[in-house]
Amino acid sequence: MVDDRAAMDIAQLVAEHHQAVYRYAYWLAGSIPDAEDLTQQVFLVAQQKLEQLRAPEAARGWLFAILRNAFLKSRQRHGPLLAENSKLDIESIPEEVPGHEEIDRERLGQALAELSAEHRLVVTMFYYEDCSYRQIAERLELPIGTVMSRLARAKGHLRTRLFELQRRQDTRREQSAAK
Amino acid sequence: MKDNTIGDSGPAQDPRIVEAIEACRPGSDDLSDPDLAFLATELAARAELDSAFERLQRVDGVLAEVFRNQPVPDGLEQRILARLEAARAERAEDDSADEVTPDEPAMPQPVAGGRRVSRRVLLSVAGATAVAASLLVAALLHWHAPTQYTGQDVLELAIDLFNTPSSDPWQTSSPPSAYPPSPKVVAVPDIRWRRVPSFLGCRAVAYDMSTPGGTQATLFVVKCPVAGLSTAPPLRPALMTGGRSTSAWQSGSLVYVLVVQGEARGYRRLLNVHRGPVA
Repeated sequence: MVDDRAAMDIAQLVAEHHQAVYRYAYWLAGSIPDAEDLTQQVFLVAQQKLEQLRAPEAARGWLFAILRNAFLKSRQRHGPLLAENSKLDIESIPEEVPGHEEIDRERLGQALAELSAEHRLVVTMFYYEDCSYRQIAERLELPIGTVMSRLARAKGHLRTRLFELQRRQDTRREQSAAK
Repeated sequence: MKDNTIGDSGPAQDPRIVEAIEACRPGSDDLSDPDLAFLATELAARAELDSAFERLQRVDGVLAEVFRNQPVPDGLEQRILARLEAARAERAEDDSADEVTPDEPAMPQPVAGGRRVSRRVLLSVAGATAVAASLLVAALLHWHAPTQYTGQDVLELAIDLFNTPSSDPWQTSSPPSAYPPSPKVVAVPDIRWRRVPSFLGCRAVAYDMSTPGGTQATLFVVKCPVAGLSTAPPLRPALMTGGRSTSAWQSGSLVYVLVVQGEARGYRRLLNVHRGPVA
């Protein structure tokens, strides 16, 4: 009976939150199979620790916390390429802001994949979870200065990768028009 | 679109200002945060900085929308529920396996009402108790100090197992749901499997991945703590030795080890790895 009840509750949890968890996992993991794998891991842990969830309204945050831990654990020994060498600047802000349908998702995914796991997590918490820098610092137990630095570098890197091609094209167009 | 340099030595290049600007979420009241009061002052004083800030807020709003609208694959909910069900079934299987199985020697039954117990029976009971106690101690030691194996340990053992003929025949029934084949190798219809009694002291299942062309291959699925494995198989084998190509990766609590007879080409044919994000 207890198992039936637990199965019912976990099924409800999956029904209500699997999409949100998957989307978060996708931007962290960087590919569909890895995101699906990570999502399944989250619910496996949730199933084991379901009694820890006291209030249904806290479910999403709880699942997200499990996701962040699972992601960081899986990436501990496999830090990707870019960590601290991104430029700290705001020069990559486009003059004309594109619509969301104009954003190249694949390019965005590649840009995220170039970041270290720590930078990727911070920037995904900012964009996907809508976390303030203070919330990020609290949840990851990091100094606020570290969070702000990672956020600025990671965001700058994403913009550079997303908009550099367009910027180069515009520059070339302006140069040829000037001639 | 222009290159929006806001003065190479101006306030926009001040890391403190840049970080504060980047920390403000679109559509939020983050600027009213007392720790960001200095930024509000800077923005009020510098029109070009204020303009960059406004543009960044709009760009961040667009990116946030892209992050939140990522398509979700069809059937994901069902696949998650199936995996959870499999995990519950496996736990139930493990629980029942922990009970006495028919293969284990039966413990001597308690002797009825005051009958004398023979010396031989007493010795048997004492012997069995001693063995059980030492197993318990070993289990407790293992629990408190789990051995962390390396990827190299796993690869070498998998090759040894692959090279050693097993006395257990391949099974054609449904494989154990808690040790599923990895979705990162090609799917084999009606895949054959067998239990591996011990893989670095852990439970494991071997799947026969041999191809119709005659290339022998085995996928080991192990529940074992292993340090430093990636979450996907590499495109090139991590270890090639003795005419065997092998790699290991992990997913959750499961470690997968693929051993293929021959060189990298045969190994690659068995991978089903989609790399990079696909929208």
